[in-house]
Amino acid sequence: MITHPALALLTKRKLRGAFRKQIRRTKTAKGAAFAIIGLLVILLWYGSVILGQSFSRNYGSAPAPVDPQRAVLMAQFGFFSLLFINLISSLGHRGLYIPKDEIEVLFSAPVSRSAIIRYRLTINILKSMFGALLLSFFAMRRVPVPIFGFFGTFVAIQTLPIYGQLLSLLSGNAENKFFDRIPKGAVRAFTTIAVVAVIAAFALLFMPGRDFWDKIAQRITNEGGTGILQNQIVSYIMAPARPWAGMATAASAPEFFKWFSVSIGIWMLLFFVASRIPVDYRELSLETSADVAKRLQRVRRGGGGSGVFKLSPRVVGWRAPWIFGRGVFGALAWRKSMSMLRKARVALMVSITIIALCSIGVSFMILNRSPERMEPWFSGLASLLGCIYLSNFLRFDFREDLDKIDILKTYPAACWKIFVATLIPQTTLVTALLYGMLIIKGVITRTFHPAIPLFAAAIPIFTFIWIAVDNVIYLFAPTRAVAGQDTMLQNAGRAFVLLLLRMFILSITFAGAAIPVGIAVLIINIFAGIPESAGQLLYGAGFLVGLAFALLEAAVLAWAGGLALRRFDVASDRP
Amino acid sequence: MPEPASAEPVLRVVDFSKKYEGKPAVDHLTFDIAAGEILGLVGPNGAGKTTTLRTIAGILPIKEGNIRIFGFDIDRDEVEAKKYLAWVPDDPQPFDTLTVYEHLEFYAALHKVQNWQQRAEELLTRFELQEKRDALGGELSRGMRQKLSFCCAWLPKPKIVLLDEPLTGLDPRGIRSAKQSIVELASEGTAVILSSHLLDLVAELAHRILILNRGRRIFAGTIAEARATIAVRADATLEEIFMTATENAGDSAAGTSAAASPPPKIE
Repeated sequence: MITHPALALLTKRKLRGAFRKQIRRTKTAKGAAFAIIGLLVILLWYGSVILGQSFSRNYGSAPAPVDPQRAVLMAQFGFFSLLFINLISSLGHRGLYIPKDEIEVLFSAPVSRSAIIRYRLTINILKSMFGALLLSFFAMRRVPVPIFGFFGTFVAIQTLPIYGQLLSLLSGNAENKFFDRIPKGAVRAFTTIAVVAVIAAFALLFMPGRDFWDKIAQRITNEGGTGILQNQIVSYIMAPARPWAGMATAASAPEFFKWFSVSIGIWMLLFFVASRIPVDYRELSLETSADVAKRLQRVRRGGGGSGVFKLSPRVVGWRAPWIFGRGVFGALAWRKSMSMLRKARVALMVSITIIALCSIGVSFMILNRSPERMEPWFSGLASLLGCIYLSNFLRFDFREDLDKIDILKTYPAACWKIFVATLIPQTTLVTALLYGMLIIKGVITRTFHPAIPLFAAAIPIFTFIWIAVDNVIYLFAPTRAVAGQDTMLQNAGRAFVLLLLRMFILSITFAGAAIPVGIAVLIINIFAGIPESAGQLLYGAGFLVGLAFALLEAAVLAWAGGLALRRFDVASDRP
Repeated sequence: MPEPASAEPVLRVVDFSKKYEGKPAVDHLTFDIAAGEILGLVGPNGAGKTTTLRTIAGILPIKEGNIRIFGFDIDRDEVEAKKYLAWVPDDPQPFDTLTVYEHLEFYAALHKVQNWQQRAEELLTRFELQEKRDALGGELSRGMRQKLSFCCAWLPKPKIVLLDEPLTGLDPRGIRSAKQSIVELASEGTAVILSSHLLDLVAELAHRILILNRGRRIFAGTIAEARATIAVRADATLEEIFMTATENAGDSAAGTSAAASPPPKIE
């Protein structure tokens, strides 16, 4: 592991520092509250996995008998898929990834390059422990002896970073020697396709309770010897995963220890080879670290979603129209629209593709059933889910402006107006995409339910509410979200509180809308002889009252957002 | 300026070249520096100063030429050579989660400094970081980061110090402390390479100057020699010398390709 005393000291100090930073963050009431909630959420999550496992073993129905040969094959395929994803994604980290605060210090220090590799490998293995534990708990369900399944999976997950690092170093070396530069776009496209293919294959085999998937899984691993996984060439390709599969699915202690020894031997050999490999990775590491640092900075600024994408130089000439006028409000909204236009090129294309595919899927689902009855339900549900997904993916809100809030506050406009103007372009974009979905569906199904205009009226209001709740909370308790960093507890807590608040506000909205609709239903039932057209009118009126209620809620959120922006203290609130 | 302690070179750069994507960033550069000497490295943006310093520091690999530190080849005897070096980058990035004092503890371990605590206290006092000793790296201002970087570099009493724009972000007191400590370090026998666009600073501290333009050496020597060979006036300032030298070199280099972009620097 880490052999250099200074690097061992650095690891200890950084670990201590991370705890200390976490504790310092809990000194404020907000930080403490979110940390406690986050800790509870994480503990409950782990606890539910462990307890669920124990409960299903002790009290659940007896598990179906597992064919040992099939279990090994399936485990081998699962581990190989993880290894494959790991190897593909490690191609994106050329050389050795070293964080920005370490790279120049370590490269200019009297420390050998192999010591640096050993240090980084150890850090990566420690970092993967959290995920390894969780996956190991999950793996206990489907194996003959749960404890063997746990350790088998744990050792496998802890070996993946070493395989990945070895490939990064070797591919980096090959790039240095044989290629001037592999286009990053090609690597990314290949990575995406490969990862999607593996995930699809994985889902195909392991989606439970679906006859169709089970049949396909059986066909792949069938006992006649013609299954894909039993193919000689496939078994050679998947050979690296065989010891882990043997360990995880072992039925007896001697069998487990046999595979355990092999797996640990491979782990040690890989660690030794990776740290001794004579590759000068410095230039590649500098590039990789610069790339990762920029990406993290974008994540920190954009808070995830489309803010992560780079500003595309190809669209500098593109201009967004001044949709909201030439006043202060219009100018603020235009600025945000330009940011969306120039940054979200890829995100927009992805969103349009997803929306188009979903529209076509929903349309055929409607056509296969009773279009008249199903259409409003499908359209409503698709609009709701589409709004939730797109609001998170196409995120252009105050996260992007966290470093500019002092400037925003100097603009000659009321804070609520700045709040609304900042969020309105994102609301408009999401609304436009959802309208597109409803139009595609209408064209394919050739039906146009009278409820559709009501949905169309509700979409922008609901979208604004959804986005505004998030931003009000963000402005009251801003965090820079970077997965896996020291604010993990606070982020988990904040995400949970946000979810609860959204659910609460959503339930108020639905209750506000449901009460008048309920009264309408009651009237229709009492006066049974009421004509159908009058009944529909009553439904519509109820919906409109609900919509008015939602509008009121949106206004309250705009006010709350303005208040949050006004009380935002750039000296202390900016994390 | 006091004269350097020794004329024997402790760092020797011979015929060093560096290319990025086929374009030269540093072109057949040769120079050396003796113990106790302060060498001012000046040149316009893209001249190859930072690339040269980062290669000497071992951050970038060397592919053409030879760099020797106390006789150790930076390519083959990398770890031995680096034992004599300290590197102060233009934008220091301390560890977010380590306190100021823990940075010094780490650097002491890195360079195997025995009984480092007393020297650490002296440095913290000198660079006015005593009050910040328990502050985390991520909480420090630009100037504080620079001061911490000095403390870490000075701690092992290095034989060669590489300074890239060392005064950026420092307040007037910090600038004075930094200048004093550079001079003191040199008087104790440390060789200092000082890269800066602040020509007054270089003129004040450096025994010799090395002017680079488009990756090429266009002058190496004392300011008096520069006045004699480059400047039009006998009392020319370093700024005037620099302007004349780089304009002339720019004229002579007209038509040649511009120097290549350096490798990414992490923001």
